[in-house]
Amino acid sequence: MSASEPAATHPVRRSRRGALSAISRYTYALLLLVVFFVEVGVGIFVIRDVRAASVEAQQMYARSVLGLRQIGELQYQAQETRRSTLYALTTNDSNLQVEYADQSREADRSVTEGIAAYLQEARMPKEVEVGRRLQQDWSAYLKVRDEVLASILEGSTKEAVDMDLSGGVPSFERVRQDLDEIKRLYDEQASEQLARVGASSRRSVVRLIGVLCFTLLFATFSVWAIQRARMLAAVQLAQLQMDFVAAVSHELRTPLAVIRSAADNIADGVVEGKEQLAKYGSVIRNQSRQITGLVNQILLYASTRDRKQHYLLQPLAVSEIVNSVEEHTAELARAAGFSVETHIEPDLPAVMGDLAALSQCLRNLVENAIKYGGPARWVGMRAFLQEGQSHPEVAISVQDRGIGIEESELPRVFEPFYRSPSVSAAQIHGTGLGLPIAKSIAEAMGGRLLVQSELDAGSVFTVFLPALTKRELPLARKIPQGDAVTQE
Amino acid sequence: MKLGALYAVPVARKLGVCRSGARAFCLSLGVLALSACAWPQAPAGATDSQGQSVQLLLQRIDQLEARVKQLEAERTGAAANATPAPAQTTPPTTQTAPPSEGETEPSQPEPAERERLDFSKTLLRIRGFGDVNLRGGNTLTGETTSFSLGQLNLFVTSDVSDKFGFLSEIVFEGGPDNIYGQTVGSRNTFSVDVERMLMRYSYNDYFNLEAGRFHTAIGYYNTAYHHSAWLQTTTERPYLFEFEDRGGILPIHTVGVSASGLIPSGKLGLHYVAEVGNGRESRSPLSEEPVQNVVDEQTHKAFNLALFARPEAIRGLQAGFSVYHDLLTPNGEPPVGETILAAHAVFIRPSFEWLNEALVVRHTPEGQRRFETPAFYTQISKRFGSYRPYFRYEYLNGSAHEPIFPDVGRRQGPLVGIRYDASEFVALKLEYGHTAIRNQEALDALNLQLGFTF
Amino acid sequence: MAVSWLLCWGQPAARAGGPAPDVPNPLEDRLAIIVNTNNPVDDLSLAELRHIFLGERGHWPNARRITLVMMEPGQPERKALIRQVCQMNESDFSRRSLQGVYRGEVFASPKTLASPAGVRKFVFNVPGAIGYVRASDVDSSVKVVRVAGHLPGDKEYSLRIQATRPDK
Repeated sequence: MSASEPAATHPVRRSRRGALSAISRYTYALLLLVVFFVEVGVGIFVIRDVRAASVEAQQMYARSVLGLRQIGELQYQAQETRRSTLYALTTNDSNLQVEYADQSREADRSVTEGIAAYLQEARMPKEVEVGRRLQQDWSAYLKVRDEVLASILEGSTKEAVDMDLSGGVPSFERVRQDLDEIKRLYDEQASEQLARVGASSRRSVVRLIGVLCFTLLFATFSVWAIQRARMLAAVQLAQLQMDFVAAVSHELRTPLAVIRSAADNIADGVVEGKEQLAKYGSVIRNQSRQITGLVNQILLYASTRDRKQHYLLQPLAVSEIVNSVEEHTAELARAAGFSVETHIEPDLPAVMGDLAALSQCLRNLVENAIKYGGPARWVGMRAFLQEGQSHPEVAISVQDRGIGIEESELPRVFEPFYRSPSVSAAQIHGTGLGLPIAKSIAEAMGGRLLVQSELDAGSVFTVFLPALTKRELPLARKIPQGDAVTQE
Repeated sequence: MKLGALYAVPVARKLGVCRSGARAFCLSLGVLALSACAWPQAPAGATDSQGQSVQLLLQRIDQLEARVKQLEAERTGAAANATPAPAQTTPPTTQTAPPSEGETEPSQPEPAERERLDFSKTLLRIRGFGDVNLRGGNTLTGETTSFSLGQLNLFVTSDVSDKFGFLSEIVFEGGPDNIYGQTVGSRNTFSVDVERMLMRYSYNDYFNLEAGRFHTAIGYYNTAYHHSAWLQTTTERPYLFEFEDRGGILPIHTVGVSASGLIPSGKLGLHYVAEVGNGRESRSPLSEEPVQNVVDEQTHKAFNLALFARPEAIRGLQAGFSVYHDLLTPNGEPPVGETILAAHAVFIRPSFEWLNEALVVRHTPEGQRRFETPAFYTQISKRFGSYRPYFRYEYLNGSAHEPIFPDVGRRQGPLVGIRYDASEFVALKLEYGHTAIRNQEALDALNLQLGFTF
Repeated sequence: MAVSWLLCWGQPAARAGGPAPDVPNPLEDRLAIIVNTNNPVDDLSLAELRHIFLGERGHWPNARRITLVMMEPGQPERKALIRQVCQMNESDFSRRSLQGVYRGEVFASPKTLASPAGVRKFVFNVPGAIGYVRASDVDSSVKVVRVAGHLPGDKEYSLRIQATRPDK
């Protein structure tokens, strides 16, 4: 069921006012939405930072730690290459010498492959330079090693020794220095990456703490604001209820005072004669009826809030409803000096509803029109057919030419117990329940109640009810108040 | 209760709810703030653990390097104390095991100098030859039947480098020496001679150079069998190739320089030898070392040039000749020009050999006639399984007026024998020789020899 | 039954009929002479081989020293080489080698390796080495020399190994 839609005299002002009212109504939701998006945004940055730090840490591990392991393996295999060559010198057995030569070649193959892998992965110019130098030095050492091995296998030990001393030792020393330099490069890279990971981690922590603090602060503020709003609403509701009690008390006090005065006079014997007695009796009766009407209205409102209220839905002719309203409000209008003009379009389709409830609903609108009708003393009732969004609707409008309703108060006129300050100031009595009751009844019938008003020009309250087609003429059934009305 | 109070109660209840909710929320805020403060621990801890891993790996690499250096130092130290290599032709039995696994962590890395190779390593190879004899009959050494130790020959070689090699023959032999008829030294005593000592340079197959003391390339026998009784088929060398200290007529040893190599001749297989050296001692009477090992008695050098062919068409055949020339200056005598012309044709196969050599020694004293001493031998043998019977006939005819070796005279005669190869490196020979000597009683000798190499 | 049939389907037919017969390698009985891949020599006559393996040649045409690689006594490859190239038996070969060294004609003794793989690796490592293996044991690390113009795969190739390979 939709809330009442406020009416505006100008479409632009209507939309701006509508937007502002929507903003004010959904302030907290909007705030929470803003906070949510800020949180998401910052959270994305934090997640990105964390992921970047994780990726960097993995890269650091892959590059530096694994790289150091690779260099360690290269150093070991290079040593193995040389060691196997030296072992070949320690034996005269050609079989063993060949075995050692084989071991040396296998180790040098590992080193050559390792150097090629390092060059493939090298990115920085310094790495490439050192890698190429290592490759050249290793090739130079292998040439000497091959000659040394050949001399050892041939049996020319002294020549092998001389060759190794003059060529092998210096070239192997160069290889060792190159490997040391590569290891140093890896150390430096590891340190740099460690520092970067640390900085990134710190940055993420700071952002996260900031986000959390902001979130906490804002959440605290939001909770405080929501709680405060609720408290204010509760205070306001209590105030409204106090006002209602005061209003009801006032409404009851006046007739009760009249009744008591009349009773006092009768009891005191002031009243003489049947005429005076009849007059006093009539006063007592009228006041009693007024009190009864007020109590009934209060009870009726209570019943509309009670979801167990049942209505007797049946197809009703519009004229039947309007006639019922006319009948119940004729005396009131006559007493107030109002003229009620009624116009019903011909061939209006029937509507599904409870006659008594709908009558009550329209009676409340007519009574309001009389109460707030102003010096024009005119109330118009019109029934017509209107095409709704998906279904034709029967509209019954009640119009007055009275004081009108201020646009800012239009959204509140259907609030229970709400009375405009200007009305209170004008001492126009009321309980603030008439329009909520009418709206509740209209919605229970599957319809809606809308208002259009202009200050000092009057107001139009229109009840829209779904029109019944001939096919949809239902059997009478009871539906609980508050449930959605479905037409069979 | 007043109506207004009834409506005030829900409001108060709501206010109370609001206050308690705020307190609970503040409490949760505090918990969240604490957890936020604890959050940095996780990434920092992860970073610290990674840094520790890097440090551990670096330490491990350093330890491995130090261990490798220690192992190398241990290996070079162990190799410096290793014994020399064993003999030459058989596969060496000495094996050096590589360092074992699972050694303890090294303490300190060794300095880089220890990684160098040990200069003291050599590949000296020593091979030995020897013989033991049982001689009977009248021989040059006496008329009694005697067990006789032959020469103990230590043959030493060393591969100095790819091009250089060392060779020496150190012989222990029992005396006395017979130098041109002069008996020198006491019998049954051993003396040691450096029979060969040379450094060889081999550039390629066409040029090899030797310097030192070597066997003169006269004929075939001298450079084929040297001092090894096991290598030669017979028990003794032919007369004409007898050693100088045993009364031989040829300059068996020379101290000097020798060049040898192939001559590009295709399938003819020509070889050359060109030598220059001190020549033999020629003082008369000569009672000292006949080989001029240290000092040449004169500036004039002896020259020798030999050519021989090993044609591929006839496998095993070698034929050649040599020309030797020297100038001898015996004491109190005019200088004697010495020319030795030798020719040989040998056919050697594993199961058959036929050696033929002939030479003539010309001594021409200054102003006198020329003295020629011809000599030849022929030796034939064939193998039957482990047995190799052989026969040799030799002839040597020296003049009684020969200015250098007048006592040689004429010697001729056959010898016959059989060789049994008891194993690959041990041979047993039984030989009978009859030598007719001019103006002397013929010599008959029976010799049983055990020749071996080790 | 169907599962077991499926399991057996596709198994080699030899399972039913016994083990498959060994296909003889045509190069199994050929003795290949191998040298280092950098050796300029491609072809040697039997006489030249004989000179080399008897130590009468000490250098290659590029002046690199010849290093002989022999297998251990008793190996069929060694027997085949000594018999067919040197034309002597083992003891004669030992004696001849010793005599060559004794005379000073042979500079260095042959190296003795225990296995064909060892011979191959030795020849691969030493530029001046020459050895021999069964032709089926040759790989790309060494070069096979033509003997009298023929390779081991040729019908006219003369170096054959008569003894069978010893069980491993």
